Amino acid sequence: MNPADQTASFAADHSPEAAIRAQFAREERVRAALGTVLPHLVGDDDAAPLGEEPVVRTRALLAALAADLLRDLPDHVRQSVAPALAQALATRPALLAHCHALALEAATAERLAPSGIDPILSPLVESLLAAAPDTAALAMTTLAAQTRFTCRQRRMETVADELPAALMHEALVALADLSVGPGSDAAASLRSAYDEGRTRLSLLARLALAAADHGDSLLDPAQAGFALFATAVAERAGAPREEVILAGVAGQELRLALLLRAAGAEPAIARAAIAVVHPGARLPSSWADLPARRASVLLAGAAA
Amino acid sequence: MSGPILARGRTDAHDQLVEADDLLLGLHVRCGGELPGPIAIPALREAVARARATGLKLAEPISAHDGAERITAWVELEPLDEDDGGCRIAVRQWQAIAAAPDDEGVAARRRALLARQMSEFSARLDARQCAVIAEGRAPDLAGLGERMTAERARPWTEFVTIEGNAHHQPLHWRLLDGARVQIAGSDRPWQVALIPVAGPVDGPAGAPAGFELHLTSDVPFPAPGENEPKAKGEPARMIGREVAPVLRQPIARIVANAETIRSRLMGPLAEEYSSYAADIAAAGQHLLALIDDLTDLEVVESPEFSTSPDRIDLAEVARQAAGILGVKARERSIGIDAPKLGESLGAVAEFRRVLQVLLNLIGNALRYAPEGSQVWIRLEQDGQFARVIIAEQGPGLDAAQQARVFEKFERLGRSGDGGSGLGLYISRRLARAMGGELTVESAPGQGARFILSVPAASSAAAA
Repeated sequence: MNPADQTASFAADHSPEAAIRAQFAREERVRAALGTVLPHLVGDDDAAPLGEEPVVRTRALLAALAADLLRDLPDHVRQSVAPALAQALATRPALLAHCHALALEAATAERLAPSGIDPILSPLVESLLAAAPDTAALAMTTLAAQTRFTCRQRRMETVADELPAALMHEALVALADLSVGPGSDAAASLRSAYDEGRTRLSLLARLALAAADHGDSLLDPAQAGFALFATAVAERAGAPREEVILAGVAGQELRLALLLRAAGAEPAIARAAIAVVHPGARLPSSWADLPARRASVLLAGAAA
Repeated sequence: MSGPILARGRTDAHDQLVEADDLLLGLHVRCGGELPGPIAIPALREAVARARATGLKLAEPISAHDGAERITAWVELEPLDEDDGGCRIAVRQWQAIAAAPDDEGVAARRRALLARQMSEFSARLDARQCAVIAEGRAPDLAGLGERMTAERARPWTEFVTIEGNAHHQPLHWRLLDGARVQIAGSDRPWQVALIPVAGPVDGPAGAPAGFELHLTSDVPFPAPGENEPKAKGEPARMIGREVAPVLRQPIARIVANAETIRSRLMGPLAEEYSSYAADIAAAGQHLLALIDDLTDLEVVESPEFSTSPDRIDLAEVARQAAGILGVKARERSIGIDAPKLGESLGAVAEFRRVLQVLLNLIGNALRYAPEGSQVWIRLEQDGQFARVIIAEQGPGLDAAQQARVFEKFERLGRSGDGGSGLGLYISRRLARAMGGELTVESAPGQGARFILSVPAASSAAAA
């Protein structure tokens, strides 16, 4: 039985030893993680998912998120509560993973920029700007959102209004849990002002849907740009976008290959995309023969 | 957000859809829903519940499966906290993708072929679905073509009554394809087939330049003299007229939901649950097939039943039947040896009834013959009769079984395989109604040969 199971099964146990065992189980979890996490933390690869830069950026994003959630409160309240809220946000795995993915996405976008892949305006978005008026307007709105994202990331900032709805809900629950007098009013006003349709991620998803007939360009990061590419691959592979972002990090080439297969990309298209994101990547020779369905199963098995 | 809204809808505090424009309503109905009623599109139901629970405005793509197609739509959901606490729905994008993209081209061609062959009324529509020219051979649709072409600015949907839809605006063509309609002046139920005509390459994506409209009916036009008052016949047609329409909707809903689960549209799912869902969908399909059989049974047993013989090519019918069941045959690794292209055998019979019989016979062969075996379809002419012989390598039938196999509800001791015991009974009635016969030759362990005879073309010409 792993420590997590123990915590769960002891939850209803009121014997004197139960509290001791529950706390020890929590401490055991930390010890168990040491062996796997520590080598990544002390490793010398700054760009790896657990490298210093992504970790620092993730922490900064959580702090920025906490500050933004408290934006309607008086300064002194905000300053005293923000660190606790940032801590509370970090205990929510989905929110933490999201902020981490934002940090990785920005890092990958900056890494690809020198090879001619603009973090903001891609050739596909440029051609969509000249498409039918509805699509063009959507492309323009998305472009503006992507610009704000890139600028904010360079300043290590983010805002709550950009969270996907499910995570916004989590963040608001965390805010309400802090029970700082006016915290619930602040949560209510944030809730009513929120519109997922205005978030960058939602706009990207909608643009990918509108550009569905540009199928192959969407799956080409050089054409679509990394942000739209990640959205399109995630949507087609039925995977969370965070997973595609992770696959863009050095050392995750095969994940990207599997995601592309699961997204139904032809081997030639997939190969081109991998060459852009992971130049010089080495993959098992048989990956291209893997049927889309089998790739999904492998990815799902790995995620479970 | 900018961009046009393609359809709007509204739900109440219990996630019942209370208002919906055609595009949304069509999908809702095809998933087995009604208005007002619980949201039948699983992904939408889930998203609406989430929007209400969190009180957040959501914007996301939803995917749905209506049994034939995978629909991806962009929806924006705004929870309403005033009055009844429902949710406002705005649909901004809409894409329909055939469920099985690999076979879609072939399947679409085959559907088009069948629709054209069986059509009793055809019209060429422009891109707005208004009739440019119409032509019908069914006497009870005589005025329809004139009405449609006389008022060319009005879409064809205004001249018919679409079942389950009170609106008259033209729906998306994919939602109309396959719809059941009623037509003033005809007592028969009609089914719509819409075949898109390819648009210009630079036209808007997915927007065809026009359509072929075909109307087909399961019920043949009554021959003169048989069109008596049907006071007696009415109760005997209870299943087709009353029971089947009521049953089809909930079962279609079961199938749509199970397909949604099976194809993991709502997210990743363990393989075994996906195959349970596939079982549920398959069971639902069997129920639909059973309803079809029972409806057919009523039709063939009703005193006014007759067929409309025509000059047909049995080889062509056999090739189409083999083509339609090709996927099923490959699933069981059974080879179907159909008449080669170029072979032909003229007969006088009703095309779709012969097709129905052959689909039944070949379907049985695929169900009961061992995996990896072979099914042969042979043609021969014997005097006045043209014959199609379906030979399979199944377990065979002894003399007693051969005597019983064409009886109503006869299953020869089988159960649980989705058969209704009506197929062969209906097939023989159909064969006899066309002036032919359906027989079997077999011995235990020797496979079976089912022989469909219908009048040969030459003998009819001579007669």
